[in-house]
Amino acid sequence: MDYTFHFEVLESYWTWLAKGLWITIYISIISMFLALIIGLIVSICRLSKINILVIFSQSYIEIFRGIPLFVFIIWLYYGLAMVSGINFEPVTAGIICLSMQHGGYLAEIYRAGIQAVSRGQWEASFSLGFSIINTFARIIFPQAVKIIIPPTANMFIGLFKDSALVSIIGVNELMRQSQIATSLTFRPFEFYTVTALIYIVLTLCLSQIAKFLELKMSNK
Amino acid sequence: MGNDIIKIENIKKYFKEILVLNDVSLKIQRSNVVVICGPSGCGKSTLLRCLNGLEDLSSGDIFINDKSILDKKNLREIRLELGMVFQQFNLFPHKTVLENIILSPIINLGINKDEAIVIGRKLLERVGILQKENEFPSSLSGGQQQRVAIARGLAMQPKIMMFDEPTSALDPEMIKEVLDVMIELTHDGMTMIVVTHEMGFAKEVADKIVMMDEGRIIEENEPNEFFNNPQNDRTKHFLSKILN
Repeated sequence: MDYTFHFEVLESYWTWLAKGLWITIYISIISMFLALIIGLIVSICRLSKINILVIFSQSYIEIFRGIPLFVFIIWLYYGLAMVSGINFEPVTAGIICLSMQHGGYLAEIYRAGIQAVSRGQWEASFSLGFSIINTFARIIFPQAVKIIIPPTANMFIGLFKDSALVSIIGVNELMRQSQIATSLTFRPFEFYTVTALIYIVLTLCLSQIAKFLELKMSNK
Repeated sequence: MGNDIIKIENIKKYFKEILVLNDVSLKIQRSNVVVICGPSGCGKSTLLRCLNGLEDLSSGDIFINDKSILDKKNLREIRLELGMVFQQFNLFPHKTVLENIILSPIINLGINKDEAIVIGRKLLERVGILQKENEFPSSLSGGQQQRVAIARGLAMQPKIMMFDEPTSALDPEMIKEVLDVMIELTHDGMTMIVVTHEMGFAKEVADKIVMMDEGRIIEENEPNEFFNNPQNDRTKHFLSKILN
């Protein structure tokens, strides 16, 4: 069997894909940012000694880490609207689902990073009169960040690719744009190959940024 | 208010069901140097950690400068009066030597940065490592790190300094440089509580030696009596082992 690629079809869909790429980047960056905050809050709750916060954070992690993203998106976008009448814009719904799920993953990454800082650092800081907040912000977290960067970068790459699932509720991000283009041109391999390449290039950029940060931190 | 800067009254400390401190009472006078010794697991480190609230008491009370540690409002003030030096140094690895020293005075005492740097440099000079001020702790030897840790504690101008086996993690050739710094401190009239096995140090500078075993204080005496005429059999046994 021989198949001839006709990459020239891409020419007329180039801006189309670029628009999708922009939405993918937009959704990913906002979701990453929110996931960072959610993860931090949940991990602090998880590590606190206050029972109700620990239970809240454990449930959060188990539920939002366990639920398939596909189901979560469908449920939040269609289900919630049917049950409660709350209507989200598709992009907003996508961002909420991505950031909540990855916030759960991140909480565990943070927790491992924070726990990897030795107990003696807390004790030295307390002995010097630092409050618990200052101890965390000035002594513990800066050390944990160094440990957290590589797994966080890994998770961001996952989030970036997971963002393609948002296409199921009609967000015209990169994946959906190439699906539509495919259905109009009947050239799936051309579009999907190029789309995959775009994902790979952006993933490479992310891992380079992570490498740079890691290097910068390890100089300290 | 007597001359006792520290009063430990009948404290007990449990870890789960294990009794680590069993009805310990001790008074320490201003400007005294008290050495606490005893076999490992006897509770001596836990006793220090109870003094600045790193461990909660199961019962009993501790007064630092007549302030009870049970009152949580006092805890921060007590910690500012008590400097602590750890066996594992516990310097902040992401801060330079000088930053390690000035961070707490700036944040917790409200000293401005320039002034803190002047104080920090003076202390580094005193412990003999001013030339390392801009390096990170990981590039220092154990002895140097411990001297930085002492300077860091002193920068808070505490009334009392506590040392938790400060030389136990050091190579033998570095022990002396740390002990020398500590001996010099005693000349300035600093109240010191030192958990250590360095009996030479104890003989030279201690006003009182406290022997602990199984969570209790089993002997408490001035050095001469302690070494030459120990009362308790377990003290005799401990001394015979550690001095040979």
